[in-house]
Amino acid sequence: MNCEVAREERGRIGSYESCGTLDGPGLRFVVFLQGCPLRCLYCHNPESWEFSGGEEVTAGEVFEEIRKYRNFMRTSGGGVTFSGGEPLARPAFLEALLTLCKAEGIHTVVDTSGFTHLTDTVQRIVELTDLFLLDVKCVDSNMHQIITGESNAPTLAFAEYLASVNKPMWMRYVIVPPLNDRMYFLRKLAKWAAGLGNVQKVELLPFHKMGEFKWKKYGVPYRLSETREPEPEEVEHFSEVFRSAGLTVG
Amino acid sequence: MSTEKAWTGFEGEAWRKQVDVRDFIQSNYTPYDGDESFLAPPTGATKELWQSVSDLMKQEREKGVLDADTDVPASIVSHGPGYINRSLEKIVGLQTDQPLKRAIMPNGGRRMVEVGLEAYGYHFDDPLNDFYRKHRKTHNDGVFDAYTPEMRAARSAGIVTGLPDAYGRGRIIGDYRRVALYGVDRLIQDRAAQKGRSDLAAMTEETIRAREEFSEQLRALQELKVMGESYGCDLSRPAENAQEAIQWTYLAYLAATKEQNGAAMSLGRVSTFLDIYIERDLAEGAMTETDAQELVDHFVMKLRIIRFLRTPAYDELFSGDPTWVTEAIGGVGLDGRPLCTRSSMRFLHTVYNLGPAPEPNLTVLWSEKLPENFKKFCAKVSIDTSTIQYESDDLMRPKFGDDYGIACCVSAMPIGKQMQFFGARCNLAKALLYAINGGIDDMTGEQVGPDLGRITADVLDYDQVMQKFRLMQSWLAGLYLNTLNVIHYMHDKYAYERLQMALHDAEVHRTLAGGIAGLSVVTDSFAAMKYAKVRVIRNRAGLATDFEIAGDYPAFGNNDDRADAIACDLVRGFMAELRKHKTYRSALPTMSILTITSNVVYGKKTGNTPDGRKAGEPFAPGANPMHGRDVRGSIASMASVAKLPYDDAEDGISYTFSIVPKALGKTPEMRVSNLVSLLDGYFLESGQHINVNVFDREMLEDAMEHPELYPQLTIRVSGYAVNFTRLTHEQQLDVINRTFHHRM
Repeated sequence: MNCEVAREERGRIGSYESCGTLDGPGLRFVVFLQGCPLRCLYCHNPESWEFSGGEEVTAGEVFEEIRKYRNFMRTSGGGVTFSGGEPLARPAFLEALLTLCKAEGIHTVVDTSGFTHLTDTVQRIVELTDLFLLDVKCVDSNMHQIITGESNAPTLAFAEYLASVNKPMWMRYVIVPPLNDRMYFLRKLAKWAAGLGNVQKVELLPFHKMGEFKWKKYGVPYRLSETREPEPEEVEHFSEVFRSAGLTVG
Repeated sequence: MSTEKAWTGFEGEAWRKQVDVRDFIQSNYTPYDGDESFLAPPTGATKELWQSVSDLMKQEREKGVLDADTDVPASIVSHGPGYINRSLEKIVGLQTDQPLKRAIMPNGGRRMVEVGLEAYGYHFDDPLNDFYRKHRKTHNDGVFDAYTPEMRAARSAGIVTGLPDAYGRGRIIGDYRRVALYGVDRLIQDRAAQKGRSDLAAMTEETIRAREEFSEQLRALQELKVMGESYGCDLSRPAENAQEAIQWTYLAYLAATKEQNGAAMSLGRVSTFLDIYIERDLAEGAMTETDAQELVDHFVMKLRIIRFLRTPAYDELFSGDPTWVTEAIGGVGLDGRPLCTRSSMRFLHTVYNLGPAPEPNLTVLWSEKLPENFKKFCAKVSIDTSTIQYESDDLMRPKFGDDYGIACCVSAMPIGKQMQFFGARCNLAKALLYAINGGIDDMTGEQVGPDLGRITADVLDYDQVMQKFRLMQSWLAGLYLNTLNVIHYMHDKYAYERLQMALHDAEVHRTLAGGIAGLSVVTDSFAAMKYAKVRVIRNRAGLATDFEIAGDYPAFGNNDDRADAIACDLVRGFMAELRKHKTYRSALPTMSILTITSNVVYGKKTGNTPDGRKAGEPFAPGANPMHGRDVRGSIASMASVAKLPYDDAEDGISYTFSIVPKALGKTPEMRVSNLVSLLDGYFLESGQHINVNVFDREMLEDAMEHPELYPQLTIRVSGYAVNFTRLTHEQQLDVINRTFHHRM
């Protein structure tokens, strides 16, 4: 895709965050693409679900917004992070955005669940992206189905594809007791992730309920009201599983 | 006068021949780019002294003021020596004979003393009060003799507020270092010679005034020596070691605070100057790092207990008992060498050794070229204590050189060469309402501004309102500058800062610093008119009393040029009006966008505004975007502020940034490196000033409930630091409601 064409590509944006400090290296300008095929029980951004939500914009317009933050990207070694929603669910738009950023030398991160088909466009997206944040909900297929409403096969396949082209990724895992915090799952996940060879870092994120109030706004019952948030000691304990598999936990 | 011992080992020539502290620093300082691991913990004496001071401060918090004079008008020599614990103090000197006991300075205003004392259960000594009433005119009396009815009306309506017409104007930084480097006798000799140059001149008003001022200055320098003697210090000669250098500098500063209840009594830029003496003593083996830190700790402890007697009305505007003992730290020299020394770090380290505190007002002059270790240490101090403000040395150095200080919060001035006539600020949001309502005040219904015709349309038209606003601001700027001219004429006449001016060059560059409040309110109001629909709701008298907004509009603080360009135009527009007017002593007009905590009082005095802000609600502080309207995160918010043109707001543009620790990064190391990057980025975008607060909203809420558990909780508000528990209830709520940048 050339830049001229890329600028005109249209898509929908939920919001922007100008000061992302947890979404890749350095300070990140975060673009939340609108729409997600998954319905994770603990989602804290239900406003990003609907593909028809948000605001329609061209990739050129988004890029102009991104460019405003060049100084902060430069001082921090940061860049832009495309999050969502599910950014890979708008492949042509995402490819356009990445094409424009690449041409300008801006470091790019895609924050995804990996729930996608490996189409040509997605393969080009992988090529254009500097780093992936891959959010694996659960290594167990049934539990994944319970948490997200979908199978984890595309996610695992996507991770293996990233490994096959040697694309760096940070693996993220939200710990939700008692759904995905069994030691069996964690050991299996650690072993699989270590075998990939491209996982630079594992981030264990304790589940929190700060998104609960938003669900009410969307009239969807929030099913984790009674679920407890994991203690820091538990998170530390789980970290050990990944460390002993030879992975870096950060 | 022997300088042999005092100047042994020092390099450079120019500073020996004429008073030139900058040249002395440049010829002798040792830049330091290492980390903070050399710093020493507090000594036993430091801990014991600080415990005594903390106990006294606790009593002071309970009583409001610990003690006050009622019958001794303060001067440099009005009180004998005072101590906290003489045997432990390495640096001595108090404003009165007891720590935290407040002096009275009726030359600024008799009523201020009377009301200030009454508020805390004291009574202004009748004979003295009577004496001032009958025989000694004050600054305040003089101002009201000259004020016009229009000035009085504008003042009481609150379209101009915080004027230094009843108290000391402050914003003058004496070069206190001169006393240490040269000794007072040399300064007296110089000034006497300067006075002598006009012996044969024609006695014009200007010359007569200069001669009288020089005489006053000479008298103040003599008194400074007398005060020094009472503490056993021979200030007539230069300081001979580090202890004396700090002591001499402090006594000079102390003398200024004994006479002037200034709105801000900045210290200047002393840490790197003093470092030269400390380095010399360390090299000679005359002291250790522990000794050096102890001297700095004791000096800073003294700066923390500077006090002034003020009225409840003053505290409502600027609460928390601020004194603005601003010390500028760091920066880069014109030759490119960073001015960071070990002592720059020692000064910052006092917030660990003594715990955090609002004073001195630690101001780091930031440059991309500062050593990485220093940047990181500053960020760490900010994250741990929220006590630092940062200002762009890269922006200010080209205008002010490399030996400027910060008066009060954001006002840069070359030390000993420039002073400011402080002008507080006027209320731009009210001016907008006057434009809409033909000069009738939104709160009182009285005709305060000129009747330029009301806006009668149901929906506000951007161009029409802008045209009226321009006319109204033109009236306001003229009235405002005339008011300031009156104030400063009288201040010079009745409450002249003789010691501080003795520590300036004979020829001084003067600025007349205006200011504006409510920039984001007015910007958003115009953005709403332009991009949404603002319908006017009028009362029976036909006055616009409320506004209904249909649709969304881009608000200031989102790095959106549609709004940000309006803000920049407003700044340029008001400054252009200020420049049109004749100023007292031909001072150069400048402007600040700074409110300190007065944004709360300004909001209280201002009706509903077209941006959707309700009557009585606080404005955003300084140049900040309005609470909750900056929805694109902190960098977008700071990028909007960074666009404001410093050339048209050369007295400073204050931005207060509050972030929860987690939003700054996951680990302590990441928080430090992210904060450094944020500061580098903000200043690259040409931001001028930023207060950095790092804390949780919950902690502040807890501190409101249990102030006794947070005696040293320090937060940064527009331009200075304040003890949170000493803010008024409304100001505490304002801080808590202010945008906290966080993400889930």
